[in-house]
Amino acid sequence: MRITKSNRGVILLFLVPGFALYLYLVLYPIVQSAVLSLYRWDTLASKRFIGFGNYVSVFNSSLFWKSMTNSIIFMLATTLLQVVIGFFLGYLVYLQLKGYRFYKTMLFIPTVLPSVAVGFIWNYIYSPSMGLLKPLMTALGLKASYIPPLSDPTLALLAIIIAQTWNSCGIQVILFNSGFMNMPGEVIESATLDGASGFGMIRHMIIPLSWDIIKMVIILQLIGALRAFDLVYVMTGGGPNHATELLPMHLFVNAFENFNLGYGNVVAMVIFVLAMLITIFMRKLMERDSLY
Amino acid sequence: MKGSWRKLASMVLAMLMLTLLALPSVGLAAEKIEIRLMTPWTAGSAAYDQIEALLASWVEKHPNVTIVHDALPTADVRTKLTVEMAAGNPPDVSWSPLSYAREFIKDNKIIDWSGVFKDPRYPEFKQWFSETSLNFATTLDGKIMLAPQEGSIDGLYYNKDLFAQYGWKVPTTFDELLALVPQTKAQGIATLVTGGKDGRFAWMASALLARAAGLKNFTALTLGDNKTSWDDPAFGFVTMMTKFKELVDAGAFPNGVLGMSATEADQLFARGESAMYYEGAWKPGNFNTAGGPEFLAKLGRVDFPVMTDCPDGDANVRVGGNITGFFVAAGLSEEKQDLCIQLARDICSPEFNTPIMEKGGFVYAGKTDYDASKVSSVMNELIQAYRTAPAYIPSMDTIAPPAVDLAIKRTAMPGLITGEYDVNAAVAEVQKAAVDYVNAQ
Repeated sequence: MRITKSNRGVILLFLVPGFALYLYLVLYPIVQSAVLSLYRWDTLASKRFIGFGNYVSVFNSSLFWKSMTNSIIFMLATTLLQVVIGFFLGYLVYLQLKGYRFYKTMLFIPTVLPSVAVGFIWNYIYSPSMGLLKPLMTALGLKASYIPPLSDPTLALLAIIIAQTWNSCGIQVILFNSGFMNMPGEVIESATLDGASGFGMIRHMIIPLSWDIIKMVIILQLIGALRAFDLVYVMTGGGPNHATELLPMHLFVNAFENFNLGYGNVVAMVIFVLAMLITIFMRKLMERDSLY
Repeated sequence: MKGSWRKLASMVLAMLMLTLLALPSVGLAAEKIEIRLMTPWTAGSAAYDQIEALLASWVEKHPNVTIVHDALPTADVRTKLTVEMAAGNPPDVSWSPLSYAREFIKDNKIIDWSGVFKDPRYPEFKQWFSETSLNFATTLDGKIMLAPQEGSIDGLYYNKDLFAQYGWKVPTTFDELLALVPQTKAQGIATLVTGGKDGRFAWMASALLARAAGLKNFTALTLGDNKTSWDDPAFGFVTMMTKFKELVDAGAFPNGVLGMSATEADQLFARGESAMYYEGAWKPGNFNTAGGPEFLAKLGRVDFPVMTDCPDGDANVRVGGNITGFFVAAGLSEEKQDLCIQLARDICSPEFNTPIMEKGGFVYAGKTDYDASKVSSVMNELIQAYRTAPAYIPSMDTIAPPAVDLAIKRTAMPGLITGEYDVNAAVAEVQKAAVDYVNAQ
């Protein structure tokens, strides 16, 4: 449809409902959160304007920086693991080896489980009281080396990263697989006839041809990891001693357990700004439409 | 002329019809009232069937009333209460800990029960509950925040069979407790367990502070004029954390206690892998679930050990008291508020609570006779401990400002267990939370 002077009004009219919903459901809460981050709640009902006081509290809080560090580690580790594992498993499925449909279904099962169920499953595996890991290590003669992962501040975050990767890898497999399926078959065939195979094929053909999907998976994964909350809430509640407290958990504890809603809104703004920066940065970094 | 008469007659007829249509909603049928109730009594708990039966009979007695019951785990009730209060949409009647009620009453978001206690229409409250039982439920300006219901009392639960089998002495002093640690460890048994992952240190924090610093200092730090003196050695919190560190260093807690939920800790205790368990009077119900009545029969209860080297410490005070109860939201219509008060009264009545106490659910805060033969021995010990306590000290999560409570049970105490903090660093975390809280007021 051509935009002309006469139909411009009609087009704008059609845009109004969608734009109004976007304003109300997306932009308004963001602006509201920014405004509320400038207030301090003396009680639940009365608040007063304190300017950037909450921002000073947040940026002076060692626990905030701890949760920021945890979030960055969690974001990078889950992205790296999920992209690498998802890519190779997706490629194996793409090769359509014997029984690939069965493996595809199996790989996707953890993804359809709710995070709460995943949290319980991995809690059970790690549990020092009734778990699977301890008896397994005992059977392997490693009883002395057993450390309950969720109680050790150096291991707890890693334990959650493993659970998160197990939970979400299936979706990356499907995304990568669908990306591979859209690669031009004749190009792959020519490359095969020219002698490309194994890692050479992946490096010189598959990665460049599926660059768009890789880019999308990385951005989605990074932003998803920044917002991760449910698995942490179920598995550790942010403990031990804040070792697994990610930014959303830090927000939750301060806003809803500490009654500090202004502080919580500052953390929400930090998450929002980080998500925007990551998106812009990743888009700049991967600006090339295709590597091919 | 004829036309205007006809017009007038039609108008009168229309008005009559409208009046007739409006009548049923005005007076013929009573107005429908919906009450939203929130409790931590989820399906499977000792109180769940009892509350459902009460609500069913209530609706039968009041046909114009419908009751929506939100039954959620305790932690979820706390979060939902905060969110709904902030949003101006609280439940009409709800279970609440004192620390939350204290925040709500500041804004007049919940009713002051002192008026109800004096109201001749509700004489029962004065008959059921003694003045001392209302101590902590009353604000400094005389407002009563909650209608009392559950009487909390602590217990250092111990496995009598294990103690008899290995010839261990049940500790009555802190030094005896420390001395017990190597003895239990020699048998591959942990001395003391609790749900570290769920931050279940609030009760132990209160017990340690009571023994190290006494009730007066405890009250000064949590409610009085010294809310920012947690790092002042004169108030005993530093000593309390030092004592906790001694327990940790001795190895009293099992490997992985911070990764253990309360349920996992219950299982460990029920399997005989821990000699003792410290928490409140609701635990026998959990122990019954974890190990059955046979396990429950093996359990005994003693007070938290006394610290003989702490002259300010209180040797007799017990952690507990009336630290939870029911509030009624403020701002309801007079009729609805009366109905909510009646509902809360029935929930706080001996008729409602005694059967739950006999099932081992919790200790009732009011005066009642119960059938001791229906109750496990450990539950009888708890009820006696509650009734004979010379004084109570509330658990930290019901009395300290939420920020301070969280700093103690989620940061300072776990930090000492993981070894990330020494005593000074742990105390500093609590002090910072207290200063931030007071500055925000």
